[in-house]
Amino acid sequence: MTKDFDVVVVGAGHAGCEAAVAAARLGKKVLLTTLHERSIGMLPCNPSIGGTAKGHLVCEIDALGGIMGILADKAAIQIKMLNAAKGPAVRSLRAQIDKARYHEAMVDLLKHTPNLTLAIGEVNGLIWQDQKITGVVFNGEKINCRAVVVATGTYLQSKTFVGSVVKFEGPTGLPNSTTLEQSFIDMGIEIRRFKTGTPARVDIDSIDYSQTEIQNGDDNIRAFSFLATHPIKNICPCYLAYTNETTHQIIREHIKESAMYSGLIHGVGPRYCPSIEDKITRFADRTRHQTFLERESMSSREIYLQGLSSSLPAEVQSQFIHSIKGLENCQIIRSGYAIEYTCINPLELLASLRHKKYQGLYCAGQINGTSGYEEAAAQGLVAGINASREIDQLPPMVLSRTNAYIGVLIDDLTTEGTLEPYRMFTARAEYRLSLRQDNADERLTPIGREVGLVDDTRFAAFTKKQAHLQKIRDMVTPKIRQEVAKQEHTLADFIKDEPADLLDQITTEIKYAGYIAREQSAIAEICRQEATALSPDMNYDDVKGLRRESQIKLNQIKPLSIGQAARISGVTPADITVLLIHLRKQQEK
Amino acid sequence: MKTIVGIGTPVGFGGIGIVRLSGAQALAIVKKMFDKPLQPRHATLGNIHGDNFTDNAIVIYFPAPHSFTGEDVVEIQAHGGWHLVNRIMQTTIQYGAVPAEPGEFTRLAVMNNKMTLSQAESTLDLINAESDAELQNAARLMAGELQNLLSQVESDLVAARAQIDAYLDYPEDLESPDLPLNQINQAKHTIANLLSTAQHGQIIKNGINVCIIGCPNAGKSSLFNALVGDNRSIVTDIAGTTTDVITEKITYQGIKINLIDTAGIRDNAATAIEVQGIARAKSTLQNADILLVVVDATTRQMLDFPHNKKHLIIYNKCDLCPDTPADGIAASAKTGKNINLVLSTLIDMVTKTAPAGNTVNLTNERQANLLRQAQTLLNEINPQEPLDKISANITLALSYIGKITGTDVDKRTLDEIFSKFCLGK
Repeated sequence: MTKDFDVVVVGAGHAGCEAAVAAARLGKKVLLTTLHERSIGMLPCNPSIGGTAKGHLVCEIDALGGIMGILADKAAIQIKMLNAAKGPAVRSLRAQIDKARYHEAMVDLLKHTPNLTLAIGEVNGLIWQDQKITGVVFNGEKINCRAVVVATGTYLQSKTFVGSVVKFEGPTGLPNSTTLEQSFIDMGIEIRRFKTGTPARVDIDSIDYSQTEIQNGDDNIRAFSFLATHPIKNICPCYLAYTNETTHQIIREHIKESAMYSGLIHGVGPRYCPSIEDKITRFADRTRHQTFLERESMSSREIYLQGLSSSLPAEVQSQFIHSIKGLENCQIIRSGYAIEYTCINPLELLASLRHKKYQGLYCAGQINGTSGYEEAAAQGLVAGINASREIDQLPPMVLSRTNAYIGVLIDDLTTEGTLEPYRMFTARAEYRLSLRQDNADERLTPIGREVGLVDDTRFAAFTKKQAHLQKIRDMVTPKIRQEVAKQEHTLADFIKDEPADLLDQITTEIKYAGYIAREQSAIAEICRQEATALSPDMNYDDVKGLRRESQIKLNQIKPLSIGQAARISGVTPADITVLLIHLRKQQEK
Repeated sequence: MKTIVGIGTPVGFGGIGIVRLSGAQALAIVKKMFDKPLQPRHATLGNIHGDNFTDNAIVIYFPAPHSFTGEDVVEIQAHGGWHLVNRIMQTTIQYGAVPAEPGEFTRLAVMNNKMTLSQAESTLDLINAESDAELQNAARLMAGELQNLLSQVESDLVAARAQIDAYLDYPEDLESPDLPLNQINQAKHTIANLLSTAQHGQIIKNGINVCIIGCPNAGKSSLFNALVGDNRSIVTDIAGTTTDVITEKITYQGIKINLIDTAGIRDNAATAIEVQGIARAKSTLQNADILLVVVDATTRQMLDFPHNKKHLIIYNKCDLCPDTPADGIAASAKTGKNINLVLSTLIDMVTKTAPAGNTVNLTNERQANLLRQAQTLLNEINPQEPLDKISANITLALSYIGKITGTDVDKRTLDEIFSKFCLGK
């Protein structure tokens, strides 16, 4: 194997694969490393992709020319449109994924991506000189490169917990990364510990389905990818079961044996994804909690018990699971566990996901304090694109809160930071009526095209769809607009023989016109502020007239634009004016 | 892009009050309220009108980029009365302008490169001062009851939004919630109460405008002097010529009173200057909070005045004629009899008619306007609409209130969601 690459990507999970494929497609020579073949494109927790706000992320990744949407469509075994009746802004696709097929499709894609070398082994350290990445140590050997994307997920110095059993290992018993953490310490990068967890898996034929409620998918709804020509077929349902007082009693009796409660785990877990012991402790008045029984793969016997993540001892898990109606006689294939891993403080990153102090060092996914496959993939895509652009000496691609959930995600991480694993919610997007799944292509495909990731096929499909939309818009007379807005008629009553999804999109534009206009005027204001760039090298101690508190905050965060500076808590409008005057002074010098 | 509006001159009784608009809609907004066509950079005299007023004003239009801020700017130069200037500003807001944040005009000027370096530097302290004053004012206000009331509004709305958004972000974990109409209505109620105090608060802040009127020789000027007496404010500004209105700011029982003597009101004006003076006196009279109608107790000759305005009749020279009608106060500028009673009655007339049950007043037009915008958004909520629209209205209303209280409500909403609802895989 050659020792010279443009970009080395550490980790082949959802962030790493997006980063590696993006950089390779942009013409960079890429080495993608993984500790184990099984870790490639693996879904170590829930067997689904999408969901509220996460579906938006997947559509955006696809619109930019990323891979997650296409692979999820290929591996989907059931699909639902969540929030179908609650308004177009919050409609989110969620697909049950055949994990084995997803992994195979990913391996296949990686193998057929030109410029990309996949290698199994451990990156033991980063090599840098004068605040600039020059290579990595891989399996003890030096590899030269100009940029690194670190996407170590939950593998960095990770530990798993089942009751009092602690193992120094990665997810599902896979090997973890034991040496790379030291590089971060040596480089002066702040490290912290986060925690997450997963429930037990049970055998598919050991469940009494008559005691559960069947959950079917939705028919004839769109796929994630804008390139998909057919809706996804629903080939496997989910089932719904409930915990009961007996379950809760068992958990309460043994709560002190849970690794989370015995003090073994020091990492911070997410509030929005609590373990079953957390739910029972914090919501003591609830008499039952639901658990969705979800198939892991058509080629596996494992059923995932959504909602029951736990770090109780294996025998206690077995006891409480067997107290659930329908699961009385189930056979447990593997127990749930908690996992603690090393991550960094994302405030040390620029909005390009490059480290502020090190040229060529990018971080993406759980190492940045997020959780979720979709959040990871979104960051991987941005990091891969920007690593490539740095090498080409091009300005980074920075998405804004005003045009993408990905922009919201990265802006939150790099402007506010996070104290717990960060998950995307629609509630985090202040312009969510404008940032919909159905217009992700309109918002981002032109950007992906400019960057170079959107190929001719995708761009042609996009242009065609936009022209088609425009054709329908032109058919909407003021009278039609009024009738549709008043809900007296649907658009299909007036405009025949046009695709339902396009009519839906235009119906939203009509019904939400006032709301969207209001958001657009706020967005115009933000864009104006973001057009004024700030240098990441600026020393705010030199800015006369800034309050001390603001100087400290600005020096820590080093915003890239006046807009980002204005979003930092504690920075006042007066501070912003002072900054603008300072910039003007610099210009005149 | 928003169009901002601000009062460009100190609030009070200067000779002229300037209302300044900046932004793409500036010209369109002013056109709706001004009766003469405007030419770029020409001063045009005409009538400016709104819901309940009409007045002479000079309006100047500075098209972008050749203006103070670099955007389209329109300046309205009107008579300096607080009421009038405020109403002009109100009317522009009604037509779509947004009240400027402290230092915002200067900020625009800086952003659009309309200032030289030295100008920019010299405005720096000014901007900080404006901002500090605003902050101090806010801090003072926020310390008390207003803080409590607005926190209550925020809590209600955050709870309402959390209930909706938790369901939107976790559709499979929660049962379909009832729309949190109780919280929304409670917030609306509190906001409406606060807003009803806004006008009153403005009067307290800027002083009660009391206009002394009466027939010649009723003793207006001597009463004016008696009322001013020891209560004279440290700062005294006497505007205009002798035929113009004369204003004294006095403080009595801690409340400011702007006392205006309209010496020159008579029908047969001798000179052109006097005609102007009379015109101005009449407009002052229109904008007064209270008319102090001075009647000579010996002749009881009453000047015709607009009776629909709040007024207090004073039978002056009561030392010469002890028997006066009961519809007014008997007083004497000469002996000083009942002069303090006149002052305390004036204050009672304003404070005692304040909306009951509130110990807090909104004194700031910017705050009042933010609350009004929040109110409009909450009133718009229609339970038949999809939840994403309803949530958008609550969220935007919260962001307006957050501009008064400085709370980051987005974070609070997520905290509320996670603490109240059991969610997640």
